[in-house]
Amino acid sequence: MKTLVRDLAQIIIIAFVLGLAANAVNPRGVKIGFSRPPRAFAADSSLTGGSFKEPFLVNREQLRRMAESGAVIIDARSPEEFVAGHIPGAVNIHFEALHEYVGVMEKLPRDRWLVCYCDGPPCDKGEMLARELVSQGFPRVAYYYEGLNDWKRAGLEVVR
Amino acid sequence: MKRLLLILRLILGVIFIWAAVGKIFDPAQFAENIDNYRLLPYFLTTLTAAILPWLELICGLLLILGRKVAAASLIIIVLNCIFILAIGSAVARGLDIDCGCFSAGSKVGWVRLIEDFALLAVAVVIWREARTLQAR
Repeated sequence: MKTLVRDLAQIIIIAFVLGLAANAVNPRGVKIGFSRPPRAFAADSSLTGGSFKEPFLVNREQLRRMAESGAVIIDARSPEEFVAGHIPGAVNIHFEALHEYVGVMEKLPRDRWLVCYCDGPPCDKGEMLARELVSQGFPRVAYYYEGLNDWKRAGLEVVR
Repeated sequence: MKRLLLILRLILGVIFIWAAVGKIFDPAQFAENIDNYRLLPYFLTTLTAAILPWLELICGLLLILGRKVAAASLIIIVLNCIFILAIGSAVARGLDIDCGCFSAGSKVGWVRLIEDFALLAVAVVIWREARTLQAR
């Protein structure tokens, strides 16, 4: 029993020390702290031309401006959810059933911004779809993580 | 029986090391995964993201090396119980999130739960054997 307790304590202490040390030197380390850092939104200047290997996070205002200048808005939720209400002009690509949307994805323009969304935190389907589109070679992809809930809270139009 | 236990130890060890490595390289991503469960205060989320993968790695290594097996398997049992509760609560709440189990993206769901129950069972077998050896 004594040995077990001693071993447990050793393992846990070593994990603590190594974990905190490795995290401190890792560029992908997490900042230990009490406040959740705000997710960084894309700079407006990035959201024009160019070709990017990472999807951008955008906020509601950015989404509206991008839509006005021709961006394609993509709803990553299920068709049932989509029919029940979505952002005006959005097309539906259900992230859970991508194989059914091969045709839709092929028709997406490569010279325009694609902005994906889901309901909002913690749903990450919009972000996952955005990453998928980037991996398929689309050069300008963004996601609106605050999602439809944020859109509705702002009193903006939802269409069926 | 001895050989079977050795094989179980090696399998469980490799799985835990495999699960740990991706997370060790990217604690920021792992913190986001934990945060999506909405179970822990943010401070504990960041602490867990930094330390849990190392706990998994150390326990996995110890199982493979056959050192401190009782303690390592006991920690794995406790971890798996926590994983099952977390994933179970995510499924119950209908959360559609990445599991954070392994480095590759995999959604929470029944498959993940069954996997964790299987790992738990293996860990319990190893632990019981290690305890009897230690008591002798």
